Amino acid sequence: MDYSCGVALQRWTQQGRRRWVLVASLSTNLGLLAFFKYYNFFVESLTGLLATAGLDATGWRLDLVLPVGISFYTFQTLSYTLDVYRGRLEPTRDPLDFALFVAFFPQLVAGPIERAKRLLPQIQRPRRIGAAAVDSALFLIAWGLWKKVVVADNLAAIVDPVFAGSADVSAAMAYLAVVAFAFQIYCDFSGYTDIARGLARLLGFELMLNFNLPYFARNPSDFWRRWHISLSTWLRDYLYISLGGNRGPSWFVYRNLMLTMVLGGLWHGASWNFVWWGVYHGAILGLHRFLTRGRVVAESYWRSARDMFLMWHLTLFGWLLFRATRRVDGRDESFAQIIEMLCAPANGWTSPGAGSTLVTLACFAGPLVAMQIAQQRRGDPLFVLQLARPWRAAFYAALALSMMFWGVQAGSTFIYFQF
Amino acid sequence: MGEIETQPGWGRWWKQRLGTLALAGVFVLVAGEAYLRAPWWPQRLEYDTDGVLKPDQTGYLWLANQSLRSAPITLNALGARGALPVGAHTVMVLGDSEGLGVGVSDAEVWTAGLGAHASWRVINASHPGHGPHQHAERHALIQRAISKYPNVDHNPVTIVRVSMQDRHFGPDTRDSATRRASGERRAAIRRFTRFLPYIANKARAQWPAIRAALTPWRARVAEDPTSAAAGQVMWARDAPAWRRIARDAPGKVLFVVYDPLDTAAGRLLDANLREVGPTLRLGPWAFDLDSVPVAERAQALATRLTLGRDPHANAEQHRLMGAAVARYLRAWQCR
Repeated sequence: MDYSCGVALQRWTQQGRRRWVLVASLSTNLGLLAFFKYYNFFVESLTGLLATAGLDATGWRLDLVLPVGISFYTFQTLSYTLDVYRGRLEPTRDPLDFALFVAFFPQLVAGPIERAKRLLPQIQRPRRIGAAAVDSALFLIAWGLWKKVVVADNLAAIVDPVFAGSADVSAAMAYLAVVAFAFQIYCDFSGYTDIARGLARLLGFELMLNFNLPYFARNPSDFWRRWHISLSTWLRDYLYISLGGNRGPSWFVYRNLMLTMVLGGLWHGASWNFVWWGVYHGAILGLHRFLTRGRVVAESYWRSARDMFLMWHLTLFGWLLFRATRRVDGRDESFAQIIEMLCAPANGWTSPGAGSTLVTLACFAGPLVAMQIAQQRRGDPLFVLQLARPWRAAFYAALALSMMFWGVQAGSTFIYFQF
Repeated sequence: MGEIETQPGWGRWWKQRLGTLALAGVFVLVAGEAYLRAPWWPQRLEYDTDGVLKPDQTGYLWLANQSLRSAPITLNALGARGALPVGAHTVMVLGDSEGLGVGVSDAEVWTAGLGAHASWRVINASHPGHGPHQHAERHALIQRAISKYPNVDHNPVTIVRVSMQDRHFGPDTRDSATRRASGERRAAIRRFTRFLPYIANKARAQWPAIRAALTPWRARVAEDPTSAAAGQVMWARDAPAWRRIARDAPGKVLFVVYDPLDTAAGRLLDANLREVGPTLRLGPWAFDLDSVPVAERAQALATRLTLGRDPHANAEQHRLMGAAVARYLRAWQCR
């Protein structure tokens, strides 16, 4: 469909026809996404609403199997059609090139969401694989795998019992579980991205950077420039700017921010907690914009540290909204869970397991934080490749040993596969 | 004019990288060996040359096999979990790692619940990676060992824990001399290095997954371990071992079928095992899963009753198992 739309958009010059082609492409892509991903969500919400009026609509639910990676490649193909429509991209005439662009295996299931402008030319031109590319690719694969099997999967053992309600939740345990989830989701998702980028690089392709040390962000805008960059830039370029962006009266800009973030939240899944997560990020982005309008602030070490600390905790609250997905007997109890976690001090400030949980968290997240501080200070995520040979060998040996001794090999999937 | 980046040719690249790889390999070997020998790190369970679990000098062991980390496991002189039970009214339990209680402490393991609820003394002779054929051998071995201790009950009730995990462990067809030689060889290697066998075990454990990934999906045989057909296959292979245990046991035998998800395989095994001896099927009722919709039971079991990503049972599941079996034993006594 999108391949044909691209060819048609190139062939036809009348604006009316071109608009119809674009509408056809958008409605097909978004229609498929809405049907597979959001149909049951809306039906359940509607059923709940009708039930309050005494009406029964329980038979409308469908047992659908979500196609793998649908959120990712839908956005990818949308960017293709939109760029061709806007005249920013020459459409490809080769259906095989287009198919490879859509179904490029390293990033098919969990991104990065590549733009046609970046990936298609790489597919079309001959590729050369240099020794430096192989070095960095192997580093990315090893580092991504380490983040997934050592950090993310081990921290899941802290996170899951607390959010499943099978552990006693004191204030300390609730806080540690949310902190552990922040590291878990980062390592899980960025680990996948690193592996995808490494694999693509081995094949001679360069995928975009998807994470740039996001927990070093100093404010909400900075966070979204560092977290899931391929999604945030997609939303900026194709949604926020299309809605009007920064133009117009200030309430208009706040509205655009909120709409963009709510849809960004809903992109993650058909669930109210993703909607609230989007609303929350829209609100803090708007608040940050309001508080910093027209202000120029002098940089200082302490100010940066304070801002990072504040942003870290704002992010943690967002992760609480994101992760609280408790269902009891088919009922969604995520809101009740959020309230329980926030009111955790009522269960006591600490509990017997909190000390050992803190040690476990420090053991797994500590090396990651140390590495990221080094990456931030040197301004080079691949600085390990510049180290002297003995240090490089020691680094790889440490990765290998920790994966062997502490890596979880129970076959857990990546969190973002569900999206 | 921009700077021209020069890259070494592939020949030089390989030479450099092989050097780095060799150096990293040396670091891995040295650090790995030190890790597995350091007294303050969790140690693997040790075996003697007959393949029996062996207590270290303190009698207090950890398990760090593959990626499993366990709470400490106390072994007694029989190579069974817990203190040596002295006096009558004893049960001997045969099972796999779940039966042994990998992941939970001595106080939390389900067999401790038997003592607490039904005042039984327990010899937990379960062993990680054992199936019915190994249970039969271990049963005979422990019976012989018991005879050396006059204060231990020589006619214990035998409880055999049966689960679909058993399907992974078939009979060992080697004769005892070959097995002993193999055990001695392993012990000699482990005196020299602990790390290389560890790596070899890991590679062997990963191999089926690698092979499955390399097999085209069309060529793979879809196997549903919960189906009646799978239960029938297991029954055909393992029935002789269960019959042997029932025949050789000096006291009563009870087969406890672990089936929290109420599977066709579990029901079939339960029905067939009744030919051999009394059975107790631990279905959803034993794990408070009755009220959970059938489609959500596996998820509930995984999130509420296991050790997170490690699928072994957690303390809560052990408590429920212990309570269910203890209830049955009490009723049995009354009969």
